[in-house]
Amino acid sequence: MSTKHPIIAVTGSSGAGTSTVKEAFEHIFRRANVNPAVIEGDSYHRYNRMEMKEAVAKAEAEGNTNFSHFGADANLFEELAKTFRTYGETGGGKRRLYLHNDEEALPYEGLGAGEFTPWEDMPADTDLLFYEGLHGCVVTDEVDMASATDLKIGVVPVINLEWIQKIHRDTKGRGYSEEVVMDTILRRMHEYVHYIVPQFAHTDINFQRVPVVDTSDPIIARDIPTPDESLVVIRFRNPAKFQIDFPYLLQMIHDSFMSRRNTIVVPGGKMGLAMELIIEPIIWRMLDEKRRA
Amino acid sequence: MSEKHPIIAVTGSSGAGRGSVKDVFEQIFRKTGVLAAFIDGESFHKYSRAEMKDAVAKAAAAGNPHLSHFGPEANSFGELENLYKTYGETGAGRRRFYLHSEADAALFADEGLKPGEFTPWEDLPPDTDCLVYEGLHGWVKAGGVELEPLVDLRIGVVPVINLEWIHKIDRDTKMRGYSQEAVVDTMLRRMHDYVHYVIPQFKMGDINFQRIPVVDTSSPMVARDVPNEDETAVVVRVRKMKRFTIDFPYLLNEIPGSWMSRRNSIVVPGGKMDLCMRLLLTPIIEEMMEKRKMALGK
Repeated sequence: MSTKHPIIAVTGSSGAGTSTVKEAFEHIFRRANVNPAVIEGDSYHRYNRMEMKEAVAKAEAEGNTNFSHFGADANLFEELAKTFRTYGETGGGKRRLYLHNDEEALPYEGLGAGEFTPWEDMPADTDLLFYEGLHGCVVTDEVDMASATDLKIGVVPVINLEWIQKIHRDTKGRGYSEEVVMDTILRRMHEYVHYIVPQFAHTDINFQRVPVVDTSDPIIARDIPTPDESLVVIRFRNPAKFQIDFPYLLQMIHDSFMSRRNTIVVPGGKMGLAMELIIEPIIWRMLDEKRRA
Repeated sequence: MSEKHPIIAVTGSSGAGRGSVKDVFEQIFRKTGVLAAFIDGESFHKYSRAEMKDAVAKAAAAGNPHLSHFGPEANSFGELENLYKTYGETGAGRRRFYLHSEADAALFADEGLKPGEFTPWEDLPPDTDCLVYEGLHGWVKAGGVELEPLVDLRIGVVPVINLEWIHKIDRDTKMRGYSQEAVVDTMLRRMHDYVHYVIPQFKMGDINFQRIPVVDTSSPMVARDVPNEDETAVVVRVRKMKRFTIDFPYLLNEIPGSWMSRRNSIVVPGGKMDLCMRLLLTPIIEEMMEKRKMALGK
């Protein structure tokens, strides 16, 4: 926690609507004239793509079939915790990039897709740190990301939807068979349940997409439910902490309703709008307090 | 499939409101004067509770940590297939009961049966109008057995996985005294069979009822408050619209707060699931009984 150098962590699986979140934050940052330092969860992987393949094979040979990007062994949790700590104290720190594809790798001579850029200093004089990845709220015996960050946002669909999205992406986009993708999902389930899921109990605000069409067999669901075929459940752990004005949100977001005293449900297509309405005032206050500090 | 002796199967996990489905069917049958023979999926378990414990331990020792009630190794799918076939052809067959609790077992105290054991096989009651299966494997496909073509009406009742986990953790920790870690371990152990044997059935469900939460369930392991009915909605999907006469405008009229999410899917408030089932299933059962009468030449 740092009033001078606040940290925002968005935790969620890719494809869960993290791109909607990114856009919403870009809009807010532009309007509020915020200059953020952005770090990505993937850059805290312990291994590059090649090394990871070998590490998975090695783990399997040793009888560990659960090794995955979800868990502690494949990530630099301590580095991430250190980045949060350093930024909170000084407003600086190191970061690197993970090059997802050839296009991203193009500007870096000698580096290919699946590799990391060297660690470098973060840009100077940023207003806040923005993390987006799988592990923004991890709490283990060794590290505690949750208490290091100032605004914790969870973005996660119900599991059926998450499976549909992954199966779709990996079969259509990457040419894997449904069985192979499902095997991967099952292989990673242990670490998903032990590292990813518990984080959403620590987050300040969760955005959870829920389908309103049948997803009871996620493995063969032919179409990913569209935004119009889903709802988004938005839960605030402590609404008073962020001065959430529910009547205002209910008025501004058509067809929204309250399902618990700290929970508002909005139509799926309204997730971006809801995020901007909810998060913008929080950012303004964050900047205000920073200025005074 | 049998017009003379139709078979209805309700497939779903026990925490998913499968119990209330049985109540709904009993109501419909009472109202329409239908005499049904009910069978329970758990009576087709291969092992009694004590035997199952041994079998799981033995399988684990042999390097298979996945043995569970979800898969073919722990069930007699062949017996269920036999019953479906015999009933479809003759309207007769044999069933037994699984004694879930002390209360169940007390009824069979004279025979010295304990909870977790099975009653002896017995004949189904005579002259029933239909057979109703209720359990996890109503139209399973596994180990050379394929039940789907034998069933006349397939009803899937299943919540989204987050809700299913919350219910299981809540029930097993509060009512059965297990630790949360132990329950999660069991869930993970059974996940493989769940994904390979239980889930694929729902794509063939004629009508699926899927409960969805409208409160946050993103951390199902620590969800302190189990969502109540009003904190859920139910997605009802009809697979082949032509097979059944489904009057959606009628349902929309009769069920306050309901709305269409796809051309074959209606969403109803969580508390209206029973009403929706009654409205939807009564005409289907009536039609089924009409056909039965015609086939029997009555």
